[in-house]
Amino acid sequence: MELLLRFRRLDIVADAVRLLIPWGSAVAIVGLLAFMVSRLAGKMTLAQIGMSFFGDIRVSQAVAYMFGILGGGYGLLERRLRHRKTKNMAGHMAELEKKIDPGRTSSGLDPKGTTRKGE
Amino acid sequence: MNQIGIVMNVGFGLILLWLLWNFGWRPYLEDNIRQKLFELRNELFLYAADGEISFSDPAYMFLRRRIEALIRFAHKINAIRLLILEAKQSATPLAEIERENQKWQSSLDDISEAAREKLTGIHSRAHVLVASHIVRGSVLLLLVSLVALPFVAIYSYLASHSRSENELKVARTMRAEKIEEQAVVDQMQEKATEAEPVVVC
Repeated sequence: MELLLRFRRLDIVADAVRLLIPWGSAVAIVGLLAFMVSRLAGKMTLAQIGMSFFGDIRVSQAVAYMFGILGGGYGLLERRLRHRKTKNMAGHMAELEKKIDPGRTSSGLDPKGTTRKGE
Repeated sequence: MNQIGIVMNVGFGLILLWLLWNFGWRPYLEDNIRQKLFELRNELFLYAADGEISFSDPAYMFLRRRIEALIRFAHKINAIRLLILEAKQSATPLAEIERENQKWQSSLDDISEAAREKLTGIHSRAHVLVASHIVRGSVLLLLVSLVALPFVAIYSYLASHSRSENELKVARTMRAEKIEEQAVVDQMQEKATEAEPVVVC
């Protein structure tokens, strides 16, 4: 019991740090942008800032952005497809293995092969 | 391009990179290590199915449970956790963990030489997977390893070390088994708190 409690404490600290790094970096990026924009407050309107961003994008840059965004989307769709396939296959596999090894243990993941909800 | 345009472009690019890292690369790594661990578990299962070791042998059951613990808790494997575990456990080593490891060692003594080699090989490969996952999941470690890669390749060539030997050395140096120990404790905790888990894989 003491062992479990000790590890639980470690778990909480590690989870907190794990969340702090990505979300802290997101806040830093947004904060940096907000700071840059605020330095220009009074000199430029928001519409001008927007125009200077979109207006300055060259066709080659726009194509690169589109490529990146669509590539990311394609990756997410492929991932979803793979999870669906896992869901279909894993049950059969487990049943077959149980015929050979009735005491077969499980990994404890959800049927899609991903972390269970709430963890 | 004017100054504000540059700032906005860099900011937009950073946001895209952030999204890619957190919602693309990291979930991919998680799926990747799980898939590879499932492959190791299958290899172990087939080894037993071929009659090389019994499904009820303590060594088989122990290793299978350990691989499953890593699969289950792959989402928690990262460099920060390893650092915290290392710092905490170096200060106060856990007797329970030591006992578990001794059980594993004694279960290995009761099986044939060939089976022992096979099982320890699978176990070591699981550690290599954990170490590789930790490196690839950290920007800093990833950059360091990319810089170090050519030097390691030259050293390996000169010292006639195989790739798997080097990987195992790195995994041992990183003490990847610490992560496995926490996964096992989490597994124990889950068993203690949950009566009926919904599981398929």
